[in-house]
Amino acid sequence: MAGRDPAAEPEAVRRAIAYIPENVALYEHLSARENVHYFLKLAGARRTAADVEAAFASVGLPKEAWERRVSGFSKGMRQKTAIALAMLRQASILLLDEPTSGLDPGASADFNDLVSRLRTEGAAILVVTHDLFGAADVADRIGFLDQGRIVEEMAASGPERFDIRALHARFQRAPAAGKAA
Amino acid sequence: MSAIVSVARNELRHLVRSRVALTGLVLTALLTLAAAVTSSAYQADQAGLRARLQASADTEFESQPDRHPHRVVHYGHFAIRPASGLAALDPGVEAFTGNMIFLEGHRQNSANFGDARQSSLLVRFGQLSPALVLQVVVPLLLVFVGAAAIAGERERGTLRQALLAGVPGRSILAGKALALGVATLAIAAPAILLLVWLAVSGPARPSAVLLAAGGYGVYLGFWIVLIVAVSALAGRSRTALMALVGAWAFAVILIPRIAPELAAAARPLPTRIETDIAIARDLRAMGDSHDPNDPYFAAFKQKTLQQYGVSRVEDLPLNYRGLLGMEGEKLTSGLFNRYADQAFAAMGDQSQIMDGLAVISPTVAIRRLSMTAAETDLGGYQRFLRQAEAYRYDLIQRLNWLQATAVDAGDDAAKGSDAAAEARSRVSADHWRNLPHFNPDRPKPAEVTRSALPALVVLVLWFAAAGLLAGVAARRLTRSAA
Repeated sequence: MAGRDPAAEPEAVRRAIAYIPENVALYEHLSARENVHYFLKLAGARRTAADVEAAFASVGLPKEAWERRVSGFSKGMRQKTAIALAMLRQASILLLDEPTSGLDPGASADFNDLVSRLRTEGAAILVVTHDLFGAADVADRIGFLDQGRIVEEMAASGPERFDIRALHARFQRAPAAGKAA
Repeated sequence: MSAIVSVARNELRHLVRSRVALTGLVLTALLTLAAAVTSSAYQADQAGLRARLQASADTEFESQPDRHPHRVVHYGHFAIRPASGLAALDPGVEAFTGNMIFLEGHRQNSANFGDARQSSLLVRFGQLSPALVLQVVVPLLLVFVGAAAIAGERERGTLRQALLAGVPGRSILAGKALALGVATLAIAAPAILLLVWLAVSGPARPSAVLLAAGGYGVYLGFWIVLIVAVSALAGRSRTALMALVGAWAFAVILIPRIAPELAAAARPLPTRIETDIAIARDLRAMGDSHDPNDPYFAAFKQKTLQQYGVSRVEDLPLNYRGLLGMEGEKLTSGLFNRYADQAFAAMGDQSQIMDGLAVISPTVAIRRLSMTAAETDLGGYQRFLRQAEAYRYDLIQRLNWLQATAVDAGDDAAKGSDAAAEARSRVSADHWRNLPHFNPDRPKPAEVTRSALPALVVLVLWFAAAGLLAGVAARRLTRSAA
């Protein structure tokens, strides 16, 4: 992963990965800026205050939220903070677990735009989601998970290109085959 | 190292910004401050009071007029235990053992005027001292503040984020422990300042201060490492809290509370009445120096007459009554010392049993070390009793010898019926003015350290055991991120 052997260099590989769960875990007693600074220090990454502000602005986190404690943040704001952190860490691999679950359509669209941008900047992104339409918007490849296994995998372009409507119809017929990855 | 400092700073920020934790920390710091201030004021007052009482007793004793030496024997004197320099940190058993002995001829009295005897019942629940706060309250506060240090992060999901950032588990544990250590230093600051002040201003020896500080450092360090280890091993913060409160109740409350009962059951001491009856019985068997027909003293009389080559006590160059008094005092003191040694041996056995319980409770070890460093332990009390008895015996024998050498035997015999003889049997008050004062010596620093060493070793072993547990917890944390 990221050009390294996870078995031989587990900590280096871990540093290259940013994991963003459905409910982003941040320190409630810290502000967004303090959270980002803390995690950057743990990761051994040195970034200036300007770098952090640029990352916040890039993910669309409102300026008035930067110094606020995250205990009052919405789910979307937390995810933006986590994405900003991933950008600052220059993590080349992003693991996103149900990132748009619970977001309103506008926030969901903003988030997908952000993921698309990160993808075009060269990040490898693995998203686990129930949001087929959102996945279809941003994914290069999409796989179907059933009982924890990928039962089908398709490309976003070329002959294997998936048909989102057909997928959705199949998903409605077989709700147990729940997740796209 | 920087990851450890970052984790520690974040944890400290969490403690400061959490109202509950901050309130607990501030209240405990205030409690420590109150304990340090009240205890040092009380002990300074005690030191002054005891010095004044001893000076007053010396003055009273020396202001006796010219009189017969045996009246001085029965007038008696007081030996007052000087206050220990570190009693402000740990008053130990002083509150229960007493600190003043009435010295008189023919008998050994026990120490009186322990605080618990002369104060209200509340004193029996334990005087508020820095030792009590450091041994009991601070570990409990650390448990409440630190139980969720890692388990809480696991519940909130931030632990995984931190581990995924590449921080090894041992750095997280070390950082959390460092934060709790800083918090402990903050709440213990009044006690630390008290120790420094006692060392600098003179009452306490620097070696004793270092010993006490080292002991408390290892003891509280043990709790800190145990807390972060349990917090890392527990799946939930509630589980960690329950386990740690249970450990605290067992080690800090239960074992120290039942230790004296276990020791007393294993090695019972005779009651005061039983001892008094046994001593009275032995005294009767020993003989009566006032009875001319008593076989022991009849033999003593013969031996004395032979020694001086005379056939009648009236022909002795010394007053026989004085010699008789010396012999009687030697006998009764030997008897009293034998009973005292038996009691001290039994108390020593009890102490050993209690010390042995330190293997299941580090609090037993720190109590022992703290009292030993402060010289307020049972050993310090027994040392006072022994020195007071040695002083009493020397004082009485000097007065008996004075009677033998300075009081004419004829005047001594006739003083009850002849006013002139009674007047002549009085000796100058200069004699008691020149008697030595009670001036007990303190144990040497090396002696104190040697006595406290086993407890210190036990504490270090407890700390090492907690460190091993923390090592296991750290490896599990690191593996959980893989």
